[in-house]
Amino acid sequence: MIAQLVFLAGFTVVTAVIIAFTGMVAVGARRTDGGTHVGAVLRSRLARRSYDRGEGNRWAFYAHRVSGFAVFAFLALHILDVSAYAWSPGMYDDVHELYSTVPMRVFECGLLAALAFHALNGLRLVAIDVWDVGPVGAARLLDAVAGLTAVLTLGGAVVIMWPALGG
Amino acid sequence: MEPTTTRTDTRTRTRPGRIGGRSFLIIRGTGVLLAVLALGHFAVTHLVNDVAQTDATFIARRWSSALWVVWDGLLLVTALAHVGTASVAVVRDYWTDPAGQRRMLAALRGLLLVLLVIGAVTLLFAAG
Amino acid sequence: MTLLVRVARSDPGAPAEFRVETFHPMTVLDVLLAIQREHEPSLGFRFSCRVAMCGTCTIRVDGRSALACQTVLPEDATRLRLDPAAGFPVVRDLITDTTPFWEQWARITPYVVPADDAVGGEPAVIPPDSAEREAIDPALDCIQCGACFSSCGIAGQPRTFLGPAALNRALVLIQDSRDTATRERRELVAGADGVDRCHYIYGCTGSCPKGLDPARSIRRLRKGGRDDG
Repeated sequence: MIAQLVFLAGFTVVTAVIIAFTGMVAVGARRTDGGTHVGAVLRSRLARRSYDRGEGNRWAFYAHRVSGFAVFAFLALHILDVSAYAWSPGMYDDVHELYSTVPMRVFECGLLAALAFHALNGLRLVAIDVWDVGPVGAARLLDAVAGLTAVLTLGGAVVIMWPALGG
Repeated sequence: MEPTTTRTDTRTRTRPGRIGGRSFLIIRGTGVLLAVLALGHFAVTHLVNDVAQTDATFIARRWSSALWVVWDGLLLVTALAHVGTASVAVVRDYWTDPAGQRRMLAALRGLLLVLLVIGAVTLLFAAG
Repeated sequence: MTLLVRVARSDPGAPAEFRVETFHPMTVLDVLLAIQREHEPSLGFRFSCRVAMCGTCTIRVDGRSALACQTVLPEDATRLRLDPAAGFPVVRDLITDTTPFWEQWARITPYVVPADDAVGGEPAVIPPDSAEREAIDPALDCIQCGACFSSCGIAGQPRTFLGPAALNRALVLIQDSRDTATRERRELVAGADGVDRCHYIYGCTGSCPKGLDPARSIRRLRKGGRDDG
């Protein structure tokens, strides 16, 4: 019981830290990034099929940074909650019950999205360096990364949510 | 008005030097490894097995196999190494005074060390 | 046709929305001059040559860094938003203090440092069709307008990242066989403020009014640039 409360407290801290980090990134972007405005203009720009597709690269960078941090924040919590197993398997099971609740499952889908995007975009960055593709090539690869991330996330979400929502 | 352009797509034969510095290689190397290790770990613990089934007995079973002990151990080390190296640039971007940077990086390294020790102890304890 | 223009003003009480009569082709600089002439004489902005050579009129048009004199309005444009270049302290309205750009520019020793025995000797000969010229030429025409620096999500005050323009120039000089400051530049480029801070946003290449490719120069630098003694 106490273990569950401690875990929930830790989980709240993790969520708060992720939100704070995203805010810090956004503030930094407002000040130093001279490339985009959120809103109708952005949507039309993202849709354009010209060298303007470079906008996607910009958002990919911010998504990569935030998703990386989010995965790390979760990882810290995860290492700690799995370490409960070394204390007592009973305590671990106690905490682990929380993982199969619906809110936690939804969180897991978010985690999958962040992990999948960060991994795939990271591989895209390696490809850019190794094969020296230019901005247009990078934007095309980003299309593939976004598509693949969506597929993995949706597929994974179905698998994760299925037992809780009917199954 | 067209921009005057000197855009020539010449591929120059620069003498092949090493790509990037040490931290560059560490980030990319651990990253590629993690793409496999982390996604695989997630797949097995959340997709192939439903998360409700990954209780203490699941852990006992998983870590009685050398494959998963090595997999998870490698995952732990590479993940923390990746975070440690990649976050240097992030810290430098948001803490612009050198003293603040050093403090933040030291705190981060401390946290990563603690996590490494906890994770390693748990794994070694469970693997017997 | 009238264009609705929103301009970022330093004084929150100053008028920031204007309706401008357009003609075609019309550049953003024409728009600014029209506003200043017909609506708001106190509007602050910089320009000089009007032909994309001096690099003075860098601002953000609809969020994208560009030269005002070179950015032509699309025929069907009805709205326009103008902001000062990003990453610089704002002096007034669209006028920015470009010191952060020049600080980073100066760090890479942005000129050829000849060998001691080269001064007073024979002129260096680097033929136009040599491999060296092929490597240098695409990157040489930087007018130091700061559009790349502004559009980079990393470069900008108060950070110390060298930025795309400085790194591009560093590559040019590293590859120049007459120059002897290669080692210092490479140390700087490989250091904490160099190529490791670039995160592939590609804003630089997308916004260069001269068609340069700083992102490519940075990729070249990662691979070692030119090997020199």
